[in-house]
Amino acid sequence: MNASTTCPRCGSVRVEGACPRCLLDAALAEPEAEARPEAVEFPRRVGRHQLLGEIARGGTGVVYRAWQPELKREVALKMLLATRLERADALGRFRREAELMASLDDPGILPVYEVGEHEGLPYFSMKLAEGGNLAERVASLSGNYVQIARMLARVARAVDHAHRHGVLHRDLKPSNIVFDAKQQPLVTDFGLARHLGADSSLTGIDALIGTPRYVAPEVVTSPGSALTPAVDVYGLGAILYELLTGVAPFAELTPLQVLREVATRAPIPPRQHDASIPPALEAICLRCLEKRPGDRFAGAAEFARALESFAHGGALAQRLHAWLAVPSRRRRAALAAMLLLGVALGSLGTWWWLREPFPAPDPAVATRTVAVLPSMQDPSAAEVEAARRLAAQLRLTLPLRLAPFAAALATAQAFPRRTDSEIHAAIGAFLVVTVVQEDDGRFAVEAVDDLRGDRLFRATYARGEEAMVARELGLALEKRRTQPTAEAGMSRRALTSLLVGIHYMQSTAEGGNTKAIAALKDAIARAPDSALAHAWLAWAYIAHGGENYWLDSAIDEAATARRMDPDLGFATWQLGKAYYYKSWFARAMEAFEDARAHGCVRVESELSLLYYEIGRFADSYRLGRERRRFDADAWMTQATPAHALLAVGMEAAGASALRTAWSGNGNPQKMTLREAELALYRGDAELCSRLATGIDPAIRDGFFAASTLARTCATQTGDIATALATIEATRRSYASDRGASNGNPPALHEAILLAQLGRNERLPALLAEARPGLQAAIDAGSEYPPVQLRMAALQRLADEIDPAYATLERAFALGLTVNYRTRWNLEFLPFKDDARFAALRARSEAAVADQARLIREQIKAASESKAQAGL
Amino acid sequence: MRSGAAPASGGGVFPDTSWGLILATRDPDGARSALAALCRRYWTPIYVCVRRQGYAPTDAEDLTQAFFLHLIEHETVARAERVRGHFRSFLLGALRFFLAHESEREQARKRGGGLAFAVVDVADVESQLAASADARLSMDLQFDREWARTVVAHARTRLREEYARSGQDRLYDALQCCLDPGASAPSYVELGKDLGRNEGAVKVAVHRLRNRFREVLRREVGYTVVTMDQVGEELRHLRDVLALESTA
Repeated sequence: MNASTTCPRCGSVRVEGACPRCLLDAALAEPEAEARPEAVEFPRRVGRHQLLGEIARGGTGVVYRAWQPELKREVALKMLLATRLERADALGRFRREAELMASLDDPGILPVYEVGEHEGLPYFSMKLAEGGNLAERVASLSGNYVQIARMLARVARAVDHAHRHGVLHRDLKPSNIVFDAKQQPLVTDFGLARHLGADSSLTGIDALIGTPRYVAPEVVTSPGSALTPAVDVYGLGAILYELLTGVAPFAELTPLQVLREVATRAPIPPRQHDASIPPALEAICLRCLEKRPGDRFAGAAEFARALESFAHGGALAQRLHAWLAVPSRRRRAALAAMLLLGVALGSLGTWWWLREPFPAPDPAVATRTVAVLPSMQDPSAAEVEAARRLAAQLRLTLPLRLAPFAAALATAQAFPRRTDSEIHAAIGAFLVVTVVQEDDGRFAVEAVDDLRGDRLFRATYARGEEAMVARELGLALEKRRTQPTAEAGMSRRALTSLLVGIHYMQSTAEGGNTKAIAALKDAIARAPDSALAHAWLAWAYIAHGGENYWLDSAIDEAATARRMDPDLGFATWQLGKAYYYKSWFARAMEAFEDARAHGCVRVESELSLLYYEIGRFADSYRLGRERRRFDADAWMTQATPAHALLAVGMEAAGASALRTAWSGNGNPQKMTLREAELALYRGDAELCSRLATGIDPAIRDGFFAASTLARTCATQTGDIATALATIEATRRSYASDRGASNGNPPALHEAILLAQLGRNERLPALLAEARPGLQAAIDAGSEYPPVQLRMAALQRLADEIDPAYATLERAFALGLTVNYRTRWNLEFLPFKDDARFAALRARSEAAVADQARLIREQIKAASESKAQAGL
Repeated sequence: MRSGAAPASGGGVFPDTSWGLILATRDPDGARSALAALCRRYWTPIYVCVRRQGYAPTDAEDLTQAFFLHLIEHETVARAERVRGHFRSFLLGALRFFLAHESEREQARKRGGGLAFAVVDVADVESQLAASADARLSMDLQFDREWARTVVAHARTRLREEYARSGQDRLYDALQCCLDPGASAPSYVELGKDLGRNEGAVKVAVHRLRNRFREVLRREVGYTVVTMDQVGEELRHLRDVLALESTA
C-alpha cells in the first residue's frame, strides 16, 4: 500500500487525503487549551458591555459574563452563536426568547435588561445569576423537603406568571433554574418557549432530543399538536421528582425507552427510592407526572399552592388523598401502577418498617390515615353519613399517632359498586374500615387488615356515639401497629417484593397472577421466615388454576405458613381454600373454622359457601348474609345466601337475592344464562328454553346454557330428543377447558339421555369415556356431591345397582344440595323409577325442611328488629 | 471576515430527522419517509458490505437498493423497536437478515430500475473499496468501519458546503489539512501567506474550523443515535473500529 493512502500517524487507510481515524481522534479530544484563544475568540465589547468571560455555551448561543459600565453592574449576556445566524429557525428562536423573557416581569423569572444586536448578531443581557443552577444543587437539597417545596413553589409561581402572559416555557429542567446572589430561584432559558397554542412541531423536536426525561408524554405522542400549560406542570413535576429522589424520572430507563414508554409507563414512585419522602410530596409529584394532561394539576399555580400548603403544614394531605380516593376510571389505571409501593407503603408498610423509633411526623402528612367507607354494597344515605361522622371523629381523636396509616382516606365518599381491589387501588390502603347500617338501625363498623384478612375491630353503635367508637378503633389500630410480627424484621427489598406481590394479587390486570407469584417467591427467597409471604404465595397458586399441581403447591405453602405462625388465620384460610378446591370438604371445614377462630374474617364468605355445599343451608344463609354487606367484592358472598334460599325451596326470595348479587357483575349473556337457570329452578320450562337457546354456544358459557336447556327439556318438558341434540353439540367444546376432576359430564349426560330413549348401543363407549375422570376424582378424595352423583348415575346405567346406591347414599350424606338437585339434574333420570331412590329422597326432604324452618326464623327475627327500630 | 463570525451553515444541509425521532414517532408513514431520508445517507456502508460478501458491483448495487426499499416498505419501526439501539446496529441487523434470504434477493433483482435509491457514485466507492484490504474481517467489523468512514466523509462534505455557502471554500480547502493531526500541514505562517492573513488570524481560523468540524461530526452522528448523549460513545466506537484496521 503506498504512503499517500496510509496515514503516517496511525497507519490507517486515508480517505480523500485524510485519515478518518485521526479525524475522529481529534474530534474526540478535548479542545486544546492553546487553541482556545478566548481573548481573541469573543468580542471584547458588545454594545455598551465589556465582556469578561464565557459562562456557558448551549445549542444556540453563548452566555458571557459582562460588565455594564454606566450602571456599574455585572450582567449575563447571551449571544446567538454565529454559526447559527443563517439558520432562520435559530435566529427566530433566539429573538423570540429575548422578546418573551423581556415581556415577563416576575421576581422568579430571570429579568432581561437589554436586547440588541452586535455586528449582525443578536444578543440580550440579563441579570447575572451568581448562585449557579439547580442541577448543581440537587444533592445539597436532598432530604430538605420543606426547602424543596418552598423553592419549587416559587419557581412554579414564576412559571404561572409566564402562563398567564401566554408563554409556555416547555423546557423546564434543573439546569434552567438559576439562583441569584440572594439564593432566590429564577427561571431562565426560554429558548424553546412558545406562545400558548402556537404550532410546536419544530421546537418540540428539539425538546424531545434534548431532555427526554423532562418531556411530557403528549409532546412525544403527538408532536405538533397545540401544547398547554400542562407541559410545564409535567416539567415542574419532573424537577420535583429529581429533587426528591436524586434522579430524573425514568432514570432507570435508557433514553430510547423513555421516549417510547413515557406515554405508558408510570415513573417509579419516589418513595420507592427513599421511604422517608413524605407521601404528600410524592403524591404532588406523581400528580404532575400523570400521563394525561387533564389529570395533572390544573396549572402551575395549583401546583405551587400544593407545595406551599405542604411547606406550611396545611391540610393538603387530606385533599390529596381525597383526590386519590375518588379517581376517574382512567386515573385509576394509572394509580394501579402508582400503588405498587408509593402509596401502599405509606399505609401499611410503615406499620412494619418504621417500627423503629417512630419518625417525627411530618406536619403535612400527620393528618389522617384511616379509610372509612360506608357499606360498599349500595350504601344508604344513612351509611354514608355515618361513615362521614366517624371519619370526622377519627380526625379529632386520633392525631399524630396514626401517621403511619397515612395515605388512606379520611372521608366518607360513597363507593357504590366498586370492588375491593378498586378501592385498594384508589385509597392505597390495606386497611378497610367499613360502616354499615344494621337491621336495628344502628351502625356496625368493621376494620379489616386486608393483608392478613383479619379483623382489627368491630363494634356496633348508635348515632351520637362516634367519638367513643373512634377512640376504641384508634386504640385497636395502635395495638396492631405495635404488635410484633415476623415482617418487622424483613429487609425493605423483601418487603417490597411482598407488597408488590400482594398488589398484583389484588389487581385484576391480565398476567397479574404470574407477576404476583414471581414477586412473592422473591420475597420468600429474601425472607424465608415470613409466614405472610408463604400464605400469599399459597393464595397466588390457588388463584392460578384449579389443577392439582397448583393446589398441591398451595397446600405446601399454606401449611408452611401455618407452621411458622399458627395464629395467622390468613394462612389457615388459604389452606382451607386449597382443600376446598380439591373438594376435600371435611378438611376445608376444619381449616376455615380454625382461620375464623383466629380472627380471619375474609374466610367467612368461603365458609358460607362450604356450609351451602354440605347442606347446612341455614348456617350458610346466616353467615353469608352477615358477611355480604362488608364484602362487596365477592359476588359469591352475595350469591351464596341466595342459593341457600333456593335450596330450601324459597324460590321467590332466592331469585330476587340472586338477581341482586348478579347485578354487579356479569355480561348480558351471563345474565341471560342465569335468568334461564332461575326459570329452570322454578319450573318455567318455556322461558328457560327461550333464554337458553338465545345464548351463543360459542362462548365459554355456551356449555352451561346448553346444559341448562338440556336439563329443562329432559326434566321439565320431557323433550329428550332436543336435550340430546343440545348436549351433543357442546360435548366437544366442553372437554378442552374443564379439568377431568369432575368427570366428563357431557359424555355422561349423553349416555343418560340415550338410555332414556332406549338407544343403548353407544352406552358402553360413553360410560367408558366418562368413568376414568370420575373415578380419579373420587380416588383423590373428592367430597363434591355432584361428582358422587355422576358416578352413581354412571353405575346405575352400567347396571351396577348396588354400587350405584352406595354411591348415591354417600352423595346424599355429603350434602343436602343433592336433594335440591334431584329436581332438575340429569343424573337422576336413571333412578327416577326406582323405589330405593324415592326413599332416599324422602329422607333428605325432612332435613331440607328443617333447614328451611331455621332460615325462616332468621328472616323473621331480622324483620322484627327492623320494625322495632322503626325502619 | 466579520468579527466573531464563523462560516454559517445552511438550512437544507442536514436532514430534519434523526434516528431518535424515528423511533419516537407514532406515525408509521412519517417514520417511513424519515427512515428513507436517513437510509439515503448511509448507502455506502451497505453497498460496501454487500460487495464484500462477494457480489459483483452491479448485483451489489441492485441488492443495496432492494435492501433499502425492502427496509422501508416492510421493516421500519416495528423492527427498530426490537433492536432498540443505534441506527447503525439496526441497519446491520436488517442487512444480515436480508442477505440471508435468497427469495428476497430474487425479488430484489426484479425491482431494480425505476425506483432509484442510490445517490452515490459507485465507481467512487469502488475505488475506495480497492484501497482498504480488510476482506478477512467479520461482516460486522467491515460494516462498522465503512460506517465510520462514511460518517467522517459526510462531516467533511457538510463542513465544506458550509464554508462554500459563505464564500469561504478557498479557506476551507487551504486549512482542511489542519483537521487531520496525521497530515503534514504547512505552518500557520505559510498558510497565512497563501491566504493573505497573519499567523494569529490563521490560528483562530484553524481553531474555528476544528471546532466546527467537531460540531458537524457530532451532529452527523447525532442523527444515527437515539439521544444526543450517546454521541460520544458512538464516536469512540467508530474510532475504535477504525483502529482495528492497522492491527488487523
